[in-house]
Amino acid sequence: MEPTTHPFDREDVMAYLDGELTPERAAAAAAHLEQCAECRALAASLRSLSSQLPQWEVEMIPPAVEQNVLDAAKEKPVAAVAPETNRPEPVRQRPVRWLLWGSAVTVAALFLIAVSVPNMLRSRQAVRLAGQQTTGLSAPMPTTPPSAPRREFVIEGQTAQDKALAESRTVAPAAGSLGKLGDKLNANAHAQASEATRQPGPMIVRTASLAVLTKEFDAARAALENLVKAHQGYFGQLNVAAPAGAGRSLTATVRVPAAQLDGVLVELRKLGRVEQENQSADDVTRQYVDLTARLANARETEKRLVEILRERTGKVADVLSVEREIARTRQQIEQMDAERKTLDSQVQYASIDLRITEEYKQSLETPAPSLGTRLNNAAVSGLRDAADLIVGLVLWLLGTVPSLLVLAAILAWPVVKLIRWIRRRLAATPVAATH
Amino acid sequence: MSSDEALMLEFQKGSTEAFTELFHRYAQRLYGFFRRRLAHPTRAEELTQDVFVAVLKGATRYEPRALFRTYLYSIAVRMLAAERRKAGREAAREANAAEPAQAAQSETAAWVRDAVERLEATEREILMLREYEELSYEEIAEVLAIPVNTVRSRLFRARMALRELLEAQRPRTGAA
Repeated sequence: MEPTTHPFDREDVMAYLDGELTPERAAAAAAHLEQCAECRALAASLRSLSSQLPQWEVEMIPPAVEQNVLDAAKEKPVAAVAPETNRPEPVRQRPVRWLLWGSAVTVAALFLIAVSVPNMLRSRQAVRLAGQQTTGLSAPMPTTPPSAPRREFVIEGQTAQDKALAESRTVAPAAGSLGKLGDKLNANAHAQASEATRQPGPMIVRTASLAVLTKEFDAARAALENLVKAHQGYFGQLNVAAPAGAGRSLTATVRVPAAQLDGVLVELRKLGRVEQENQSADDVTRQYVDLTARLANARETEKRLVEILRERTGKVADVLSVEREIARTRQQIEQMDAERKTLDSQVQYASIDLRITEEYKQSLETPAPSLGTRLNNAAVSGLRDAADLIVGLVLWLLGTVPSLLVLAAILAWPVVKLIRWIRRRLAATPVAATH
Repeated sequence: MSSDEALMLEFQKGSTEAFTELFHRYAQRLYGFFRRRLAHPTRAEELTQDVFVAVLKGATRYEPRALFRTYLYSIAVRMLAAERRKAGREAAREANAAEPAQAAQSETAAWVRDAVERLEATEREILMLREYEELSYEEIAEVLAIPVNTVRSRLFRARMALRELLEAQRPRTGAA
């Protein structure tokens, strides 16, 4: 037996016994074991090893543990338990980790000090700006062209198919260990997959974004609502903003049946002047078909596994492993089902990101505030500014003094040293030289 | 029979029965996990309890993306590591499961245990997770945060080493 021509290495034999090979590899390995005495011997010794290990038995768990844990469970219903942040971590923790943490915290503190000073100044500026706006000194806010959010779909394509294959593989070994059902099962799954591929029609997820400038905001809004109602659509989200001194604006995510998207867009354009429009269509057929195929595979697998469990009696370990596979398959099915439903809804309902902005007319009829009012306003805002400044300073001090103290503690020693050194140098220099 | 993950989700919604069921599924296995790795049975009890309490506390954060088993054993492995660190500090010696456990075990059990405990630490962990906890290669990889290929090659090495160790110290059958 040349190692180069040997189709299975020793680890493969072990993986075969552990049910960790793909069904095809497992079948090939089984066939190979029939012929190769060397591998058969290895398999036998691995099996005997695994059969010896359970001799190290463990006594039954004391009933007190159950009592304690279940009491704790009853005491603390899930909702009442505050989430902690003890995520399971990898085993290899080093005790020096706290050192890293310490230095990270120090760096963060220094960074905060560096950032907080200019930030504070900036926030002062912002407050002043806002004050100016309230006194009516600023021009109407410019309407920025809305960015067009776009939903993107990554078409998994090849990888999805690979995944489907891989899944049917991982599920099969348990069955294989119970009998030679693995191959049959796999063939069946493939048949199902090809059947699912014959899904009629392309699946398109359509999205559009539209920005409209209108003179009659209220009319436009009413028209929009009627339009959505008439087309059996709904608002995914709706925001209306009416800032002072600027036009009102409405942003909404509208979901309408995909077939009616074009009609709706035509009518939406009539609401005013179209500033920007954007349409996109993502073909998710392949993704959908993949998903359907994987789902069918998983369902079939689950069915077979349940049959196996019902009809065959095996070792407890085998039964358990089949049950495990069923649980895992079930979980996959539920996930894929949910994914498919989401996809369905995205295909059935197109989404439009809509923005309607009011064309703002600077109102002339409101008279400019009188000099008295303006003086009053300026005085009030000046006072408010001063108060804000003081509060801001106090807040900043409270926030940074502890870190500054730490910094001072660190720097004190070298600075004192430096000062002493300079003094010594000065003392050493002749007085005449300084003149 | 609902899956562990489904039970966990039910528990998240407040079903204490679901948690009880999960406890019954895993309590003995977890106890075995700690019992085979620690010298003191009381610590094994306490840690088993701690793991379930951690599950209770962390229930809101559990997401069905991870298998419940992997989640559970990740917590267990983490607690075991902490326990060993503590034991190492307290006793000022290397933390090790190779502490002779109670003598209440049979001769063959002691034979197997001694051989397993002579294995190199990570190889032993992988072997035990496979043989006693019956995790798949992938699950072991996830629990120990190492690549699957590493699991496979180390498991093979561990088994080969264990075979030698068992052969070398086979108890005289028939005697006593």
